[in-house]
Amino acid sequence: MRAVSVAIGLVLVVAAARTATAYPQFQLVRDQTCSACHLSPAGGGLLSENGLDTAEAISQWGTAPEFFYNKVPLPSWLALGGDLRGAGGFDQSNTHDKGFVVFPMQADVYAAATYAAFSLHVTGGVRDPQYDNTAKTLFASREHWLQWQQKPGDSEGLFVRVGRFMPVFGLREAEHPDYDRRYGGTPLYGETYGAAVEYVDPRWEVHATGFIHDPILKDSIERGNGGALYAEARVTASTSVGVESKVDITPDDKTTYVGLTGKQAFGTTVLVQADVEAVHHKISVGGIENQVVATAIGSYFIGPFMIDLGVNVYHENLAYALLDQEAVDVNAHWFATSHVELILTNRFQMLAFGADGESSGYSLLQLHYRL
Amino acid sequence: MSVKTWLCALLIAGCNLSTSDTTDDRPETFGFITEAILKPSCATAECHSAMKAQSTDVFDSVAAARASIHANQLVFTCEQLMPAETFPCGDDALNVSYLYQVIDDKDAEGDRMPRDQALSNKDIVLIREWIRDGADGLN
Repeated sequence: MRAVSVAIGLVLVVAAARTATAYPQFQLVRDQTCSACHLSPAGGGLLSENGLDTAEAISQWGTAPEFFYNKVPLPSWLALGGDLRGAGGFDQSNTHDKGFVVFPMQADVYAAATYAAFSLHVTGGVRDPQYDNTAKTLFASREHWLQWQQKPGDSEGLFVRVGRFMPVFGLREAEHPDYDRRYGGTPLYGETYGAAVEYVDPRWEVHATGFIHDPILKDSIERGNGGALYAEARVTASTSVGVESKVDITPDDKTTYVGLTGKQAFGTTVLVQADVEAVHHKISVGGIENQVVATAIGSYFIGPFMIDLGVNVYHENLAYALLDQEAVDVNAHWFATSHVELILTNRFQMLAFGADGESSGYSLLQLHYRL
Repeated sequence: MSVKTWLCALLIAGCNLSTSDTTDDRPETFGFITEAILKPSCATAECHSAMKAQSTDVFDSVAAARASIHANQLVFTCEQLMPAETFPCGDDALNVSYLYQVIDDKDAEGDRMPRDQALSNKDIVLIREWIRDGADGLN
């Protein structure tokens, strides 16, 4: 029985840390926009030339940052990349169930092909397969979209995207266990089919997305249809404020998110960012939940290291006491080379500050290799 | 919802909203329990979502949760247990519910769920009372 539990745990704990994307911690302390370092206007995935330079500059032993160390020449219209991740360490889901775990996290490859103002972006890789259906569900494409941009090759201007991608909303952290992702409208594998109109400028940006749940794969995480709006203004070179809203409608419920984001950089060594959302959850069969989701992260950059201290709060239903939960994260990133990153991730999680259930946590060492 | 309540939750959630009602009169229905508790806590990408369907249990919609509970006999209604008896059937239904067993499991060798964090006692009690009172809306 113990062996079965451990095996299941190995699989399920993957939910605690899997596919990662970008580091919004770099915004303001490194550059003003996500698209300054990524090919996508939303950030994440393939790095631009500026992003590759940054990867090299922040690393301990700055190796050639290009795809396969530039040993594989690529035509100018094609960009390739990928992310491989795995982790292991101690996990405690409650006071009775704890132990050591090792698990794969991510194996994705990215491709972007550009022709004039148009580009096709595809992310494909291995996902955790459906139970008892491995052969048919092991491989998947989380993202694939067609993009038009007003200024080809530039990181600014107007962008239009159609395809499968995550609606732009909130801080867009890589760490999907953060509550503003898990409970705040952008969960792991929450990509949808949709169309987005986006404008990015060093001083401000806006992203408007309409989406539908996956009409092809019936097992997508997002079950609803709706829209998302995110707008962010850099009021100074070191300060940004954002507003956000999302509506998500399924046959079972309607969820409305409204929130604020903020970022404040202190020089090039400290960034504080926060996302606070009010969530109205109307359940079709009866019942309303007014919720709050908040995540605040302080990041300290020193040489090739980035230290994050995160605080998360989620209140399941504000009309009732003891339905809140809290988590504190301490993550230490070491950018060893342009391609290799080691991350020590630690979380302590409580229910009503320990007053209404068992606390949990983990301490995991994650290895990340960027192709 | 008062401004004070919102601010309290936003800024100092630790106060546990002491001004709030401490009783629990949330709807004791299958639809509410699925949407308010099972879906956010259990239907994560790599657990009981349709994408993963761990152990063939899916809790990301009311229809899927109902089908899983019936197919894998996670909860029995009073009609199933004691067709001729009056309702509710109380602890008899609770004692044979695998769903309740795993969310309330205290055994280190057991199958406590959810794996990443236990449910709050308040949510466990709501599910417990729903099962005890006849699992309204399950059929």
